[in-house]
Amino acid sequence: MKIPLSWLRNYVEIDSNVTDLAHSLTMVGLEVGSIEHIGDKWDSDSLVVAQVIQLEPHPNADRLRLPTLDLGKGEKAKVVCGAPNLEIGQKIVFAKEGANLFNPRSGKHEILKGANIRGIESKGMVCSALELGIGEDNGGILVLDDSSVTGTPIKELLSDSILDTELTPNRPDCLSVIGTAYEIAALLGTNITIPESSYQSGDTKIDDRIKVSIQDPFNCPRYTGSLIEKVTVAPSPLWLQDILVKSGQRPINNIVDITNYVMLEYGQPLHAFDFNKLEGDEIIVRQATECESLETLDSKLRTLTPPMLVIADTSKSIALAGIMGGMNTEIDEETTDIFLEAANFDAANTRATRSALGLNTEASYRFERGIRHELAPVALKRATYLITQLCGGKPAEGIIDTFNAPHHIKTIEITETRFEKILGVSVAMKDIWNIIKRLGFEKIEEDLPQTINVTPPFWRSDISIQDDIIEEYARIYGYDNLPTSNLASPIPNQGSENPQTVREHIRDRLVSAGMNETISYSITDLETINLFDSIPSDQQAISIANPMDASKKYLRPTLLPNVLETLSRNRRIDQQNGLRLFEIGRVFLPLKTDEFDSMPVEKEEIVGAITGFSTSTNLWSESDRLMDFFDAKGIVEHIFRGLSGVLSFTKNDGTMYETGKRADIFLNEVLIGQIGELKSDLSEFYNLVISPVVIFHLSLEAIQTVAQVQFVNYSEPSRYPYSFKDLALISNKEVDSESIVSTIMENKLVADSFPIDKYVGVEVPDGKQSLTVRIIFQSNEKTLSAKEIDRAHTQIIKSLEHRYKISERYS
Amino acid sequence: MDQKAYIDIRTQIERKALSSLSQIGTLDDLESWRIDTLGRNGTVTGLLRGISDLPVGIRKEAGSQANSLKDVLTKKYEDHKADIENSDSIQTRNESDFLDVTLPGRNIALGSLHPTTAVVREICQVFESMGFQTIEGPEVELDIYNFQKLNIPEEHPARDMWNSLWIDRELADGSRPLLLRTHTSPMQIRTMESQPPPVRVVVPGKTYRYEATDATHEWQFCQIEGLAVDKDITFANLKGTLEEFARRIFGDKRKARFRCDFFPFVEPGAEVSIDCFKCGGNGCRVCSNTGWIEIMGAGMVHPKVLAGVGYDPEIYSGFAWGMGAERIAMLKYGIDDIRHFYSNDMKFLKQFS
Repeated sequence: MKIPLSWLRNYVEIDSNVTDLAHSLTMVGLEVGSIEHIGDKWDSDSLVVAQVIQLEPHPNADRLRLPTLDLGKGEKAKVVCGAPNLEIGQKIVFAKEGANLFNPRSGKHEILKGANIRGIESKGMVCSALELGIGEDNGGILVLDDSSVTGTPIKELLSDSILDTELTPNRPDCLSVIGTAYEIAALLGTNITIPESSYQSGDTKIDDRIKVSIQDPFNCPRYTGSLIEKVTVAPSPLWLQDILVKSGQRPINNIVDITNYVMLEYGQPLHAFDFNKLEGDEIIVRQATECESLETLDSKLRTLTPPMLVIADTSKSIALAGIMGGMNTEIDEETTDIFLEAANFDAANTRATRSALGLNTEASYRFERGIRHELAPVALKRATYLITQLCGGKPAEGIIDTFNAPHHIKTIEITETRFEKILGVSVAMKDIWNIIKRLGFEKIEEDLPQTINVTPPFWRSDISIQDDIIEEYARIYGYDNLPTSNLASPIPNQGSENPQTVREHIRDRLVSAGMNETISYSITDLETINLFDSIPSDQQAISIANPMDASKKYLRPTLLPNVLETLSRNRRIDQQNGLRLFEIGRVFLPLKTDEFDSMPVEKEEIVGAITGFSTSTNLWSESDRLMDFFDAKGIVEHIFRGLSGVLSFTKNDGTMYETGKRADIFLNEVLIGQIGELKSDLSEFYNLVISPVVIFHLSLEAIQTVAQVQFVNYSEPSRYPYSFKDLALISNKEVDSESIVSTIMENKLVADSFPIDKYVGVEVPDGKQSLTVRIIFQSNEKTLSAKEIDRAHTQIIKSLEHRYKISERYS
Repeated sequence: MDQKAYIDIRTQIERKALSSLSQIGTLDDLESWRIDTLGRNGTVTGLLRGISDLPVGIRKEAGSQANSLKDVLTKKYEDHKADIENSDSIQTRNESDFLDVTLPGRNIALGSLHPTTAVVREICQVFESMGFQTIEGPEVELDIYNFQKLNIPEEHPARDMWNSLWIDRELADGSRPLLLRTHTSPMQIRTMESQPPPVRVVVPGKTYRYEATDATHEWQFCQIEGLAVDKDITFANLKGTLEEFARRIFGDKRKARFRCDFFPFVEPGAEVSIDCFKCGGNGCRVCSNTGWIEIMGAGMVHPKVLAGVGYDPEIYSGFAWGMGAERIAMLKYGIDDIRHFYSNDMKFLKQFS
């Protein structure tokens, strides 16, 4: 809320500078987002109040005139002026040579210089609001209030600071100047001056002219009104217009301006009806009927439905309660009698109505935050008083006050023990009281025992329990002034098994394998869902009711497309380098259609993708090669080192992968995912055709059923030397290397064995392959003799021959 | 020729040979020297031949002298030859096999953690060292947990603080029960409902808001929630714990500042800022000239929230906080646009390896 400092000063004495004040307000919870300084460039000597004492025509120009100005202290000046609204007797702002002013033609602040205008020397000028930087108006000069004293520096008269407070939803009381003034008074330890609101009423009795009935007391707990007859509707006085403009409001006419002024002053929205446009002698507060329509003051025809609340006369609705008035009872220049409303409307209903209609107003903003109903008559009387002062007219005797809510003043017990329990420091009741009384709290007890009962100030709707008052004390005392200590209570018992351990192990392994982690958005589109066939045809992906992008309204059922999109985006930027990336994230399985408030199942997936050259392009020393299936497999094997469970790969074709280039991955015989080369039509779809894309797609849940982060299982290394033999074997192509190696490993003298070369070609018969396997012979008990190794060799060949019809290539 | 004359000749030959040898720098010159000196018609060979012309009495001694000269010069010759060859080989190697130490080393593919992951880990580790346990929760939440049990009833204006993305599913009364969680705070409720006090947890996770994206706002981001509840937990503990956090993450000279703020599920509520590590509090672009940088919201758990999960608020109290992981990462690494985080540009990500 924009609050001019000059307005605040009407209610509270402020002796600190505006920056310090803004800081203090921010610290107690009223964040000051910005401060606008008006007139901070003004110089006291060169900008002063002057009076027009003579006005002559310019000899050489019809539109220019030559005013003679009284600058006070016997000083006079004669200048050239083009403003059409200049008149003798006006108090205006005179700028002497050297004044710093905004030049509308250049759009910059400039130093005023004397000028010869059509043959007449002009040393200085009469200023418009725009030139002073206090308004948009440049159509004429700014006319000051008649009471302004000539010679007074403008800085004293018009400079101001506007605080823009950003308020949390619990403080509707500070959506007002007085509410803010109470905070300042509490901070500075000063008092509040309550503005005048008593007025002389006329002979008419309000009850004779109108009555109010509330049909929905829940949504309208209180309705107050006053009647003022024979007012004159006109523009507001300059001071009122000025204050409204500085507060971000547009002046309309004196009646409407006063309702806005009092709303800003007290935080209570008001509305003025043209009394003579009302039909019948009754105001009715009721819910709208089905499809009832009302043209609101913004000239829009609104279709209303229950339980929206309207204000109506005996034949029609005349306002949308707590939100906006109706055109049919608008104040205009012909208006003479007005009915003024200050009521209290339910917060939730106001909010529901304004969001259904998309109509957010200053009034609805305040009501939906919850306003105390005690505020209505206070604001009503203040506005009635101002109308009698500024618009003439006679108020009827008495006010309407229809009040259905129980008269219940809530008392709250506060104790020193609770303050200590929450704040961690003992506070004496007198110190508590000294602070909260400045905020407007009242106490029941005379003296100050360790426990007292207090009532919150009537304008505060956010205080309902003792802890709220603890905050009141703490924030004014200053959070930073309260003590600080470390947690001293015992650390709660924690389960030994941390579910994130396995995942974080995998994440670290992926990074150590040279993979870059990515994180993408959790949403996807229908095309992608269909492309990946990721939802069973009888089910639907979870969709967002109010998506930000209508095409991407589904929660992803698989992580794979996200990683491919990321890969694609990076390939577009960089066609050279190899890409290795992965993501670990949640996917969302379809909701069961019969359980309407069940939660969807969320599962974590791990997807890795590699493509392109295996080394970076700046490599000068080696030739490069494209990454393939075995690079990806190597990464998967790397992941599972350090986790318990035995990894295995079984060839198995599936959608999304090239035929013959895909495998299922098992951990201890539990299927945990797939690995393979991306199908070419998907590579094309994602513009990834320049090199094969190999992906692995793992289910963290499946992994976690088997794997744990392994404790090291130490075994004594052999103290005896090893020797090795390389065996070139001819086998049928169907025999896989794993079968051969595991057969070799069965021999007791074999410590390790692995393939070192594979050959298919002219030197081996059709349908056969040559696999060279290295065998490491080693014993834990002794140095093996050549004889023992030869014997083992022969046994191995025999078993291979027997089991797979494998022979040695060079025997 | 007597013995003396013979020795003079020998000495002459020796001097001449050694002085000329010292001038020789190439193998070709060395070869001519060898021929001149030790060759078949060389001076030393001539000296040896001349022994037979000497009187018998001195022949033995002269022979020994001549042979020793031959040995010395042969040794000199070999050494000199080795020297020349050696220097030749250094020169040759420098020409053909020179090590350009400024060439780049062989590349080792280096992976990287996403900066969000990195900062989440760092933050959770700080709290884990203070006895908090890291847990996680669902990203699709029930309205009850995301709002109602956190003291945010329907149609409460505080709901505007968390613009929600609702799941397209309606109950009979037209209300929507499910949404993408707008904060990690529902895990306060889920944790307390599932166990008796004491509680000390830290909860990282993705959160979502219906919010236009700009340099400082993302609709999807990661939040880190914290909660400590026990019999004697106070606002002083809140301050102590979060000040310690600020020092460990942003450096031990950092000061934390606490100001009053509002979140419906805490009372008293606070916003925590640190003094600007860039300008030291004088005001700069990073802190928008305030000298302070906001890092999280916090507060004492609201008695209604405690009562709602069956903890007696007269006995138990606690504090909670929530912070944006990306915001902390942006401050730590000096990233000025949050949109980098989920654009997944390798040029961005690889900087965190």
